[in-house]
Amino acid sequence: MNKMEKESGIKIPMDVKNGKNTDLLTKFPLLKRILKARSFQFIIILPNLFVFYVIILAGIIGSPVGNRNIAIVFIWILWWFLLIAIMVPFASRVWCTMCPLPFFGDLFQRMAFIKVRLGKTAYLRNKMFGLNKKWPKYLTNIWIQNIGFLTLCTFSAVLVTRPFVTSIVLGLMLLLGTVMSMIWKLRSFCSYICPVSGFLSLYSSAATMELRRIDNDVCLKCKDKGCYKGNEKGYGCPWSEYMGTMERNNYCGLCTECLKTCPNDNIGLNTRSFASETIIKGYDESWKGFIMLALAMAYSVILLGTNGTIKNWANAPETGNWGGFFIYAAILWSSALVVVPAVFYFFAYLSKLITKSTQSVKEIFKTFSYILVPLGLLAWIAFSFPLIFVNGSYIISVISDPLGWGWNLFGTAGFKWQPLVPDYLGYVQLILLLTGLGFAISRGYRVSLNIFKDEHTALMGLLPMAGFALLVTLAFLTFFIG
Amino acid sequence: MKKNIKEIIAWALVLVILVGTPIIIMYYSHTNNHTQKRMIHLTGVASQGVWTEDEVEAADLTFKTFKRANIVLTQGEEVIFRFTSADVTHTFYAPEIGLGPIVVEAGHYYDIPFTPKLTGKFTYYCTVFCGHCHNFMRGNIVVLTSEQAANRSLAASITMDTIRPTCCAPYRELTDGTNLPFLKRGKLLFLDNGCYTCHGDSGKGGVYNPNYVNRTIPDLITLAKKLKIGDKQEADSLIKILETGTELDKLNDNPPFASYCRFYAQYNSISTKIKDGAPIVLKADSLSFNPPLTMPSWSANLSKRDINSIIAYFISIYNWDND
Repeated sequence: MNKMEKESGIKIPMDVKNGKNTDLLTKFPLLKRILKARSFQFIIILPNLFVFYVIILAGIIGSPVGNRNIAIVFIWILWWFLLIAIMVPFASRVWCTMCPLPFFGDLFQRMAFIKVRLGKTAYLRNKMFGLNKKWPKYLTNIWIQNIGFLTLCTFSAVLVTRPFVTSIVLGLMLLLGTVMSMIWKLRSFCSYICPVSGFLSLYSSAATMELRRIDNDVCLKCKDKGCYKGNEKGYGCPWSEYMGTMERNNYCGLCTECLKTCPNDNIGLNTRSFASETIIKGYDESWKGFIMLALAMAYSVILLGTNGTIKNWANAPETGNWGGFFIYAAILWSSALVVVPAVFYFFAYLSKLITKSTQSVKEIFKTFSYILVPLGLLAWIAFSFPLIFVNGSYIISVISDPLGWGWNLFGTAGFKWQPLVPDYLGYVQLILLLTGLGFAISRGYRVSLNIFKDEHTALMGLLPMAGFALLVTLAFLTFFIG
Repeated sequence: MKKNIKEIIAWALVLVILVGTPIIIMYYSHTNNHTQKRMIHLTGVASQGVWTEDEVEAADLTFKTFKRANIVLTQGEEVIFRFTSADVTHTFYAPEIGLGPIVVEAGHYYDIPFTPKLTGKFTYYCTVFCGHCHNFMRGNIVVLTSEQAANRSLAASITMDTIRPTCCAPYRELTDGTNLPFLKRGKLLFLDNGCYTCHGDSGKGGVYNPNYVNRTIPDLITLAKKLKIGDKQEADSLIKILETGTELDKLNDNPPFASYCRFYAQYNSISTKIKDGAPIVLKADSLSFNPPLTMPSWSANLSKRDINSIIAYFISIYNWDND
């Protein structure tokens, strides 16, 4: 039993613990050289910074028409699809590696883009600028991110259609990230505030890639702890993670600093099976799962559905129907924060009842909430497929005319809207949802084994949870396919 | 030293992005739009009911009030009209000078070369129903002779914008849902739905509809006469009947006044026209273009009682002394 298992009392799956995974850095030495280069993160952020800057400008001075403005097309069609359907499931929080939001905050703290400043700041062996205050302990969770994300999503009908609103929100996030870096140490914005980071942390636990120590013993004997404290090769972990004990992807932003600072070359970039990290540590993470599930359902109704009244309610800033909007917001918030968790709690209670377990319902509720990760992630991917397949052709036209000013940079501005295989999208969504259901049940069994004593009891305990997963899948099938 | 060079390059690259991007955008925009001919850039904004020459940017669509385009051309001048829409699909149409109809989809650009041959003041319209302010989407295209263009004061007097009014916010009294008096409700509905943009201020008529057989849109202030109502007494009793919501066809067997049957036939014709619209308008020159102003259907906006309140309002304002 390793340290994590002792602390949580949860068994870590054998295929994870036994290191059956492939280390990409050993397999591809060139990749290792690239990731270890000090300028790696700067180079990978730079093009994103440029695109991000163009997007903010386009949101202000560009066309107000969403499908002709790069701010809407790139963020809510291209980026969102790449993030949720490609990056998160296959490469964990790789978006955080290239995210431009903390760019200026990092610059302020380090007063450098690439070079390392040695010095002493709290436990760090790096010179860091700013007030470097410690983030309040009672806020070291993702509750603010949960509420922030829910708030933003409440206004999604306007956020994802009005370039100006998208631009303002992104600009404010950039500003907040920078200001917070001046006050609090390291990446406090990314760790505790950024609404995107919140769901990335939850769903990255399902990713098929992880950055981990190679050998536990090397870390145990390591006196330097450069990965945590920093050294002349790089900065201490901006996410305050210590590689010697890190067992989950959730709070690793893949900044690759530890690859540079590890004095023993003991960091590997592993591939692993999907949803193999079946641990939920706190209720903040459980609720993130509920919120994401409720939002996926809400979006399916508002953005893909046919009910004009609900669409009208959600779009109050344009329709002026604020009475309807408050009804919509109340339904959304109560579903995400109360109704869906309450239903899940009921199924957890059934699980306890069937198994006659001595574990508390709360514990069963929390531990089983991991099934929301594969279930929710696949539902979000299923939701996102129509976005890119139906509206993806806008990307081709907007590349030539990013501001919607009638330009034709690459000769593709006149490319007509053309949905891709719309007749087959339902089947793709069906396969994705069933895959999510399959993973929810199979990983639920692993979780169940951690809670209950033997395989038979685990199977019995899983039954109500599998029922919950099935109900959710059927609900999504109704929303998507009808 | 090597590390410092990398750092300097990094700073330089970031500065190039931050400063260079807006410069490149502005430079490209300037060179891209460069043409020997005058370009008249018109953007349709449905929420305000205007075709405007103002720049419509994402940031100001919500906050800014756009000025309606009053286009001034000189006879024989080669220009390029660049049409776009900031929100929904519009159609730009200036039938008297042969410009359009041009279907303008949101965010797309349509460059139409145009050389005016006729001189005078012409009206342009949007001819697809584009929202609450659709009826307001019109303006003037003034084509001057070169002599008129050279005389600035004369040109200014000729080119003055004569199209009124502009679209405004809905009437609060209506949207608040309070129980308005029947006739006041009719008046406010007339104003709120922009009926006066075609039927004239206070329903006085006089709005020119090119190639329409009667030349101008019918007025509504003489509606009582068009409904064959004989006198003020009959008018008052009809207003009461309309207000109480009595089914008018049931009164045919027991008419409240002598000319009721004639009234009822006219009433039916007019209320149906309001409800279902009248898309076909008789042309003055049957071989020429369709008149751009047609009666739209109001069935989605007005209930039967709403329509009755408007009719009742116009019956009530008829001046019987001039009869």
